[in-house]
Amino acid sequence: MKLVTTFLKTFFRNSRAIFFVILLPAAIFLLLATFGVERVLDFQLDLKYTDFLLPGIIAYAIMQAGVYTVGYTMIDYKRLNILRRLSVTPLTAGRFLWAQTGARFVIALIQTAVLLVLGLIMFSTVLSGQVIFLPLIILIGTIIFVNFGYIIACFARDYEEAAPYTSIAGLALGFLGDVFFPINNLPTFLQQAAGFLPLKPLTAAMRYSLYGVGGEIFPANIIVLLFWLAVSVFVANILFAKKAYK
Amino acid sequence: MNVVEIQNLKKSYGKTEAIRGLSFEVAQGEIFGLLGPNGAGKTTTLSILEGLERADSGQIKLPAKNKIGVVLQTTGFFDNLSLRELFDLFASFYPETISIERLISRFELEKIVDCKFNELSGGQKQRFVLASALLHKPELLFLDEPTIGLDPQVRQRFWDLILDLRREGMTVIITTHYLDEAEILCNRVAIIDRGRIVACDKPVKLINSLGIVSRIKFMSSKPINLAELEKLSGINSVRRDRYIYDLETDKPEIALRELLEWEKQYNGKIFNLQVQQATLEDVFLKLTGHSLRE
Repeated sequence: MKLVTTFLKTFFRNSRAIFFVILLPAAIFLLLATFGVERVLDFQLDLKYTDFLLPGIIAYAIMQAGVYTVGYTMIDYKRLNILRRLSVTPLTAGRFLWAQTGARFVIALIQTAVLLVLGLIMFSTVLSGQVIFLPLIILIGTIIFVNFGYIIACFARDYEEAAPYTSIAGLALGFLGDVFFPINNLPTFLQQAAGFLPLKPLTAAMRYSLYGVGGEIFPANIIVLLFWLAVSVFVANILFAKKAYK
Repeated sequence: MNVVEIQNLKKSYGKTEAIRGLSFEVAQGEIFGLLGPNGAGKTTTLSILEGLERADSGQIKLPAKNKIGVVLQTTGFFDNLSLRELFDLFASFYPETISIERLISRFELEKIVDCKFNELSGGQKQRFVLASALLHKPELLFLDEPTIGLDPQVRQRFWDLILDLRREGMTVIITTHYLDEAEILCNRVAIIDRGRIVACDKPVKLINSLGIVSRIKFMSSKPINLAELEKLSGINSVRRDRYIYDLETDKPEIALRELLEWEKQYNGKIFNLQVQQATLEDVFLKLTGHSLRE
């Protein structure tokens, strides 16, 4: 618990981290929502665009916070020999990772709350779905993407080495994530691929949770997410202990 | 009673053999030094004992991990936390710790305890690093090149802290390539060269075992033929290290008189003349044929 609060302290004392993780997604949401993207592109939506965008941005922000922020933070910890110092204490790599994940979950809850409040106040979003599932979906998403960040940190020695991994992950997931626009117009094989990647199921699960849409595919989305959760946790724990935590 | 027992430790990186069968024991309350030049294998040995690296083979007997304290060669802490918060955090990793306030006072950290690690000077950092390694009252302390890069005054202050620990009966394994550090701090040293222990004993015994009493060192305004110096009485051997002539002698008075006599008929000038007691550097040179700094 002490380690979780330590990670939270280090996060909230870092103004750049607050900007990138909490303020920037909110700013992107405000910008896109007020810009009226649905008037520029011809979307077939069951929801108004701001309602479509809100869960997408929440999922995207969770992905970014994991892949980018956690990835780069871990590289810093490695580069500054913080992980080395911790590894000579009885603290195991597993406990370290779960504490970091716990702190990131709290940050994701705050991040989500900020975006939801913006949606509710500024764009008259009405929450008509199974909101009770929301914390669980945020938790699953956080675990998956922070573990992506851990894995990237295992392979990259510095920011420069990490950049290609984070860019590829961020771009592919963002493009196929059903975040900023519906992916119904993409070729079928890309839509199928998107269904197997973790961001689109996360976005869809969020939409179900907020508005009750897509209930019929909610269990399938959760299964895909749980698959990614198991794989990412397993791989990250093994790699991190072997390659980074020493 | 031995706190540490190492038998036939081996470690290779690809085709490079970093450690080639090291064996040693460290008794309780002893400060044991691993001495050698960069790349000799001392940091690799310590990394294995600290659990940071895995040995290819060999037996290791150590106390449990929560009874070991470590001062790494380079270490970092979370940027945004004060020293007090870092103490609290590290204390949470151990089932039992000593009073943080006592530690702060012992290591004279009162004035900086609310500062961040990155705001500290080199000496303050090293005092905090040592204090944080002692937080859980370890039975065994590893110090990996603890005074590297520190100025002489700060180094001596750090030595005082280590000598206090020795008086309290703490067992310490230290790696260093500072010979004065090893001579002052260590009860015993193992001299490591190319992954092997070439000698292991008390520093004084190692020095005396060579039968070298002193060295006469000087510089010359002109190159001197070493054979001329070798002919002088009382001189055992002669070396030249760039501009410094280095005469080994067990009869320093005779050798010095002979040298000054010889200088009268020498058409150059010798200067910076010094007479030195033998050191661990001489032991190292004798045993390995090369200098610690080469």
